[in-house]
This record gives sequence, C-alpha cells and structure tokens, in this order.
Amino acid sequence: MKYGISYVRPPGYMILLLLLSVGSLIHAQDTYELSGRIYDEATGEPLVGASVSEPATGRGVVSDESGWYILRVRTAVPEIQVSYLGYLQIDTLIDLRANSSADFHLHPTTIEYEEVRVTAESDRDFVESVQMSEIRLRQADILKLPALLGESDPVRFLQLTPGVQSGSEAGIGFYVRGGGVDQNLIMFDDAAIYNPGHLMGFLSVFNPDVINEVGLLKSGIPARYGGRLSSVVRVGSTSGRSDSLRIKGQVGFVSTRISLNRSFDRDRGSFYISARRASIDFLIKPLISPLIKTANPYFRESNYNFYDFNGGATYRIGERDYFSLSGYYGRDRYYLTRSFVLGQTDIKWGNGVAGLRWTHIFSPDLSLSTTASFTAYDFRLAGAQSNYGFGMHSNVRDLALKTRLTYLTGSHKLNGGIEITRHKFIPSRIAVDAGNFMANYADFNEMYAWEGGIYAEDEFSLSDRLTVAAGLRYSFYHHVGPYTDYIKDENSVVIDSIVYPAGESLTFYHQFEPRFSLKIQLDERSSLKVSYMHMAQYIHLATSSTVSLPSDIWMPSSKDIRPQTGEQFSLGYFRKWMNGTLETSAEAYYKPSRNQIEFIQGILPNSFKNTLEENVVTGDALSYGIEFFLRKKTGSFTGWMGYALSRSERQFDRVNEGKIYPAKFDRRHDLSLAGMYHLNELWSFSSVFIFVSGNAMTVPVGRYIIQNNLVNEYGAVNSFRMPPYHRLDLSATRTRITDKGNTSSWIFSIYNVYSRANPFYIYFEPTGNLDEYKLEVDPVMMSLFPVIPSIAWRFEF
Amino acid sequence: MFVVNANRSILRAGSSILIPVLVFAWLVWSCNPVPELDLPQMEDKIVVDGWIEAGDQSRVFLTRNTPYFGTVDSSSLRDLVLSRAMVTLYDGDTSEVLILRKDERFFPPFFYEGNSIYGETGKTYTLTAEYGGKSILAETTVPPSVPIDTSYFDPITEGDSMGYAVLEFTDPAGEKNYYRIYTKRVGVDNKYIPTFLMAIDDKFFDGKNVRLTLLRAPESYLDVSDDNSFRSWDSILIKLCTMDRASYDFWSSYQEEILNSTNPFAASLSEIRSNIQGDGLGIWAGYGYSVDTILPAGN
Repeated sequence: MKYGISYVRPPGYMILLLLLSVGSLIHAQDTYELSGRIYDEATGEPLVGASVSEPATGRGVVSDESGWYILRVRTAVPEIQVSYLGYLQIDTLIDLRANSSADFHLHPTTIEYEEVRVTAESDRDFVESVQMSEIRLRQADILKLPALLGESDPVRFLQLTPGVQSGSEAGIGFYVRGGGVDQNLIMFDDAAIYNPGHLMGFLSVFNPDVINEVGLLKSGIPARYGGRLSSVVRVGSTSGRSDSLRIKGQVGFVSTRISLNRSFDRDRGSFYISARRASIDFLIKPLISPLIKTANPYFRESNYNFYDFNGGATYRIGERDYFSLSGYYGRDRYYLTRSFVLGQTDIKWGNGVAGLRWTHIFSPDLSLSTTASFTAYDFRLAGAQSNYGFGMHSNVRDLALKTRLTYLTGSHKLNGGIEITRHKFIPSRIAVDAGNFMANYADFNEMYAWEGGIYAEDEFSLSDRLTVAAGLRYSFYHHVGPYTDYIKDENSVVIDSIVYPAGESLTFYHQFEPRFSLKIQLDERSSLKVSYMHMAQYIHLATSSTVSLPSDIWMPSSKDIRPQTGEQFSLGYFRKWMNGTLETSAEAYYKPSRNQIEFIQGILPNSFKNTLEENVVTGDALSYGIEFFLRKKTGSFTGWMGYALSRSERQFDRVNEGKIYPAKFDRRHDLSLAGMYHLNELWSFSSVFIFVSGNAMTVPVGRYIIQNNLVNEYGAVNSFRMPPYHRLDLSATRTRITDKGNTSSWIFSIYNVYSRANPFYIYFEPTGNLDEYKLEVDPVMMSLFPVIPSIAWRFEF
Repeated sequence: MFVVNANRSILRAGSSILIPVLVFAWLVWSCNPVPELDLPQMEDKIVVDGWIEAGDQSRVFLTRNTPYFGTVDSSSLRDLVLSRAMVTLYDGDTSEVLILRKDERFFPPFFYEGNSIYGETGKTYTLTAEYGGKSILAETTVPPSVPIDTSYFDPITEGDSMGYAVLEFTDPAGEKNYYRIYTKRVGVDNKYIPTFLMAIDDKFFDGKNVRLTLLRAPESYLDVSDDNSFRSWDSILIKLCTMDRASYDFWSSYQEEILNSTNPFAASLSEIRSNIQGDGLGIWAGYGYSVDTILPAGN
C-alpha cells in the first residue's frame, strides 16, 4: 500500500513513515488515540468542523468549536485524512508510538495553488451532513465582501443569504424566515448577546478581526440549542495561533480597530486582545462640520462615540483538558450638549459578556464540555430640559452554566446536556426628576427567573443512504421572587399588592421540544433532507418602532406574557456540481408560531401610559417560503446567488379587527448576488447586488378634523408596500505583502453605486392652517445613504 | 407633594431616540416624492367632535372624513361640514334636537348646540346623529370636577419674562380620575386651547397633591412655529377638566397620533380609540371643570 501526502506543514509535528508497512508491528485489536488541532495554514485560525478520518476503518470525527479533534484509530501508524471545504486535503501517516498528538495546517485553495489538483476536496458539510439550512462563514469571507464605509460585518454578510432579511437599510437587526429579531439566539463563544448593535444598529458588536467563524442555523436546529424560535447564530472568537506577535487592524471612516495575538508555551496556549472605537467624533465630525449648516443645532450639539474590547485565551493542559476564556465589553454613547432649545439628552448602552469553557476528553469516544458565562446588557436614557429631568433604564443580567457530554459509539453520535441560566431583568425603569424631587416609578419591577434545558440527541445512520438526527429538549422557565404584583380593578386602579419574597415561585412554564432531521443520500453528489423542530422562547423583545433600536426592551415571560412557541417543517434538495466547485440547494419551509407579541402603543415613554404588560397583545404567526442558493466556494472567482420567495402573516385578535395581516418584515422576493474575483496578488474585487420587496406598512386612507387638528384614519394593518429596495456595491482591495509577511491593504469601496433612493420610511406631513382653510398633506419618503465611496486601510504585521 | 413633569422634556427624551440616527445619518440625503400608492379604499363616516360640560349646553361639530389623497382647499374643507344632520341629545329623562349655529372662532365654524339640556355632574348623555343614511350613537357622563388649589407663573430662569404656567390640585383618593387641561391667554387666544400633554391619567399620583408644569400648545399642530412658553405679562386662564375613561382613551390616543404620526420610530399599530358607535369616528365627551386665573406679575 502506498500513502501519499499532498501538503503537510510544519513537518515537525508529525513523523511521516512512508516506509513502514502499516499494522505489521502491532496487534490489530489495540486502539490508539490521536488528538490535536486543525488550523488554517494561512491565518493560523483554528478550523471548526474540519474532518479527520481514518480511511481504512471509515471512522471520522469533526473538529470542535476551537478546532480540536480526538480520534480513536485501530493501528499505531494509521493513515489519516484531514479535509475541509476550500482547503487542500492532507493524507498522511502518523506514528502514534512516538507521539499521540498531531496538529494539522490546511492550506486554503487560493489562486497561487491552482496548479495543485484539488481532487479529494470534501463536501461533507453540504451534501453529506444531516444538518440543513446552515450558513457558515469565516473571517476571510467577511473581509472579502464590499462593506458600507469599509466596515466589514458578519451580520451584514448573513443578511445577504436567502431567508435572512435586514430590518432596515442601516440596521443589523435581521429576520430569519419571517421570525422577529428577538427570535435569533446570538451567541458569542457560547454566551448570549442581547442587542448586538453599535451606532444605533449600523454596525454589529462583532469585530471582524477577532472572529474565527460564524454559523447560522435556520431549521433542523439540534436539541442542544433552545430558547429562540427562528435561528441560532454562533460567533466563535479567534484563538489565533502564531509563533510571533501578530498585530492587525483597520483605520476607517466609521471605526478604527487594532488587535494582536500570539501563542505561548510551545503552542499550548494562545491569546488575543482587540480594541475598536468610533472614528466619527475624532475623524469624521471635524471633516464634515464645514459642510453642515452651522445653524443646525442637532448636528453641532450632537456627539456620538462607541468603543469595544475583545479578549480571549486558550490553553491546553496535558492532552485531555482544554480551556478557553473570552470576553467582550462595549459601550455606545450619544449625547446632546446642553442647550436651551433642545434640552439635554444622554443615551448610553452596551453589552458585556464573559465566558470560560473547559473541555475534558475522557477518551476519544467520550468528552465533556462545560461553559460558564455572564452576559450583561444595559440601556440608559437621560433627558433634561430647564430644571426637569427624565430617565429610563433597562438592563439584563444573565449567569449561565452549560455542560454537554458527547459520546461516539458505533455509528452513533450522542450528545446530552444540561443548561441553566439565571436571568435578572429590569425591563424598564422610569424616573422623573424635578429639581429637588425625584420620582421612581416602581411599577416596573425587577424580574428574576431561571431558564433551563435538558436535552439528548443522537445522530446515526440507518443505512448507507439514510442518516437520522433526532433529539428531545425539555425546557423550562421559572419566574421567582422578589417581586411585587399589583392587583388592579377594571379601571387599572391598584387595589392591592402581593409581595413575593426572594425565591418564591410566581410562574412556571415548560415545554418538550422534539427535533428531527433525516438525510437521504441520493448519490455521491446529491441528497434530500427533511427536518422538523418544535421551539419555545421565554423572553421577548418589545420593539418600539419599525426599525431595530437599542431602546427595544427585553421582557421575560410572566403570568401575563406567555412563552412563544413554534414549529418548523422543512424539506431540501442539495447537490454539488463540477467536482464540488459549485453547490446548489433548494429548501422549502412551513413555520407556524403562537403567542407572538406586538406592542400596540409602542414603548416610547412619551406619556404616562399603562405598564408594558398592558400594552402587549398576543397572536399567531405563519411563515412559509422557498429558498434557492447557489455558491461557488473555490477558484479565483467565488460567490453566490440566493433567492427566497416567502410570505409571513400574523393574526392577532386585537389588531386589524382580528383579520390576518402581513408581518412588517414580510418580503415576497429577496434576491442577493455576491461575487469576489481574485485578479492577482495585488488586486481583488468584489460586488454585491440585492433586490428585496418593499416593507409592509400601515398607511392612512382617510383623514378627519378634530379640534383644529388633522388626524389620520388608517387602512388595514401593513396593507401598503413601500417600493422595492435594490442596491449595487463594489469594492476593490489592493494588498501588498512584504517578504516578512506583513500585509497592508487599501480597500476602496462604493456603496449604492447607482445611487438608488431606497425607501427608508414614508410619512405624511401636513402643512397649512385650518383657520385659513388651506391644507396639504404631502407624503414624504426618507432615504438613507446615496452613493458613498470610501477608503479604509487594513494592516497586519 | 407629587410633581408630574407633564411637559415637553419627556417627549423630548422619548423622541430623542431618533435624533442620533438622523444626526449620524448626515446622509439622510433626500426626501423624494412617493411613487404611485395602491391604497385601500376609505369608508364614508360621520366624524363627531362633541362635548357637554357641567352647567353648559352641549356642542357638537359634525364633519365627514375625506380620502387621504384628495385635494383639500377652502371649498373642499367647507364641504366636510355636515350642516343638514339630525342631531339629538337624551339625558335619561328628556331629549332635544340640537340646532346648527355658526362661530368663526372654531373650525369648522358650524356646530350643533343644545338649548334646554345643561350638563349635570353624574348624569349620562346619549347623542345620536343621522345623515345621508348613516347614523351614530354615543354615550358619555359628566364626572365631578376637581378644584384647583393654586396656579402661578414660573419663569424659566429667575427674573425671566418667559416661563411656564404651574397648576396645583389635589387628586381625589381611591377613585380613577382622568384630566384634560386647557389654557387661554386673555386678549390673545379666542378660546381655551389644550396644553401640550392634553390627557392625563392619575395612575401615578392617585390621592396626592399634584403640581403640573403646563406647556402652552399651539392651537393647531399644523402650525407649530409658536414657542411653548407663556410671558410674565400674560393673564392666563387655567381650566382643569375631568372626564371618563372612554374620553381619556380617545384623547390620549389622539395626542399620540398628533405627536407621532410623522415619527418613523413610533409604533405603527396605534389607532385613535373612538367612543362613537355606528358609522362614526371621533369623540363625545362629558366634562366637569374648574377654572383659575394667573394674573400678570406686579398686579
């Protein structure tokens, strides 16, 4: 037998014994363990989900979230195959008698390696895996696409895939298959993030320089994930391995960032730190000030700033214990300096998360991964005019512990685990300050709750063609004291109150959530997949408006607000073409959900309104659609084309006279094209085109006069469509790599090339005076962002 | 003393959420004419703006609603007035037919006025109107009035001639109260004009002494060039009205519509909650009221 090696580096990690005849020196029934990590050779980033297998036995594993793998093999000198889509495959022999660990460095199949024939590239992820509706992207993918003002953003990337829609032009809020923005479970290294936006949602909190991989699941979500109805977005931080200190960053119009990483202790550990801050206040505002009318007080007295820090480290003790620590802290602040005309406003918000994960490998078949994490979200608004003040405060504090046991036996891959989160919410606390007097409206209590889940799942093959992944999750939510419940009569007068001491039970909800996926392998290149999932969601986002803002308030379930539940049925056909260079898929889904929430009066505190609960109305939602996706992942030209045809409806007894109406994020057509072309070592180009049906909105159909004012009479809810949204972006990157490996890139981009005036909002502005019998109502369409050229400089050394 | 800062800073704080977006988006570059809109059809309705105050006759303005994109000029606005409606009022014992009158202080300048039935505290009044085959019915009660403890002018800074009116009253304990406040500058305004936050619920100050800072509101929000302060030389009449829940629901949703309908960041599902049954829109409200006067400084 002969074993070839396509590409191995550095050779010091493994001993290649091409001359040995396999298995001749040991007993066949002995088993050996091989463990290590898989990296991207070019960036030093660990690869998640890369496949490591022993072709002789057909046994294989995939690397975990940190790129670690552990494989049990039959022989002491096994042939090992390591593969990952978009990378050159490694075939090698390893002598386990000398060393039981081996790290692999896969080289990306970029243009300069085109002469190497890429024959055995694995498409395991796409056609062969039982998971459907999955989008995965890596740091390099994110940085390649054209970006508004040079700000590459993983969330914007996701918004360009079928079934994922942005809420508004500038926003990073996204809707997956008709689900609300709060129905996405967004995790940064296993810790939930609540409002992942900077700059009023223009930019996500995820600094692209510290992201290793982003994964999105739209259906067939495994039982290990729960708590949200529509999707799971996992953002994994880098744990970049580099022998020397590497520094990279970017200077741009919107933000400036820098990060550094290196490994230590002979590659047992690695760390990174990163900082980013807004460029607006020190770079942009001075630049454009002369262009803005100085008489514009909003501009002159407005200040905006944000910053964030990321940090993380990984460390391995022995061969069986892996630790990783990561943290994020970011703050946004907008304030108006004191002025008599405008009053004073100060808005601050931000996230903080920290997580520690410990993975212990008992044996190649059995491992335990435990994560402890902390999440904090804060929003504060303070306003003042003359000697009156107004304040609003909302926050979330989560402490979570998760543990997962993975057991591989025969053809089964079993996972079981427990998760528990302690929530503390202050949905909305309002304070009014009139000089020496301060009023705190205690109406809005702190709320304490436990949310948890216990799950078990199994993935196994029934035959060569059939693979099943089945799981069951039991989830629960327990609202506990301290809490004060106010009893009100029919006029909302508080007639009594019940004080619940700490720990006392108020409300308990629970759900069994079955999950099921089936893959039918049609032939080597194609498969058919079906999936079903039942999901429950215990916390809700009170959105105040048509756009996603940090002022949106997170509210837990209570006796008045029941958990959201939903199902999704999906069916998909997956096929690869031209030796796996092209991937195509078609997926259809049907997604009913219940106890959806709308806030009839909004939550802007512009009057002494009822409590939030009294503002809530609940109803049902239904989304269905079909999505097509074509992607070319390798070669000098890469890119994709996605199209979704979908419908999303709601039915609420108290909205629209109980009749069915389109959800505000209902879009009939959603087309996106993305292309990247690597011309030569110096230049690469990319472009994005999107076309989306217009937003649904409610418009006035008539008007009438009450006490000298004109008021609108509205038509059916969301019965009007704004004009469609479409846009083309282009970018060119000029990269210089020095002999020492230092990189300097200039990124030239043009956003909205043909300056399409896309509708952001349409409103109706009355002018005139009724006393003079003159009146006009003009519809006004507001557009953001005309053609915007920009330059950013990115560096790495 | 419980102080409610029923003034613009709250609004400012709330709506200021949108300012940074707009400021940041110095690139809000264009307001474009809207392309053809495919709008649902409007149904013809009778619009009621009527009230009965304790000790006074009823007054009812009747108009029609008009399609949103119709042309509105002086003649089409006058056409909105329903001058040939049959309007009746019933107080539980007797009923009367209201008579059309003209008063140029109001828009539209025509209204129907009662003659023999005067508002009495605690009584329920039923209004019916018929016009062109459409009819409406509405009911309201006149709640007890709440006396004003004191009112005074509060300069913005010490010695300033600009300032706000301050109203103090004691909210009756243990009952639900809803208020609507008007001001009238003697010799300047020709009628009582609702203040900036025109509908107030006592949920935050039940049974307490309340001090309200009043911001003067424009007579019509179509013309908001006026500032919201008073002057130290103004003689100001303050009218504190009480009303029932249905009237409060109407006025609070009305003020939200007035203030938010051009705000893209406000909820889109709110609608004005009318107490008019049948083919109608609008409000039929009973008010109790008390009045106090602020005299110019130095008098």
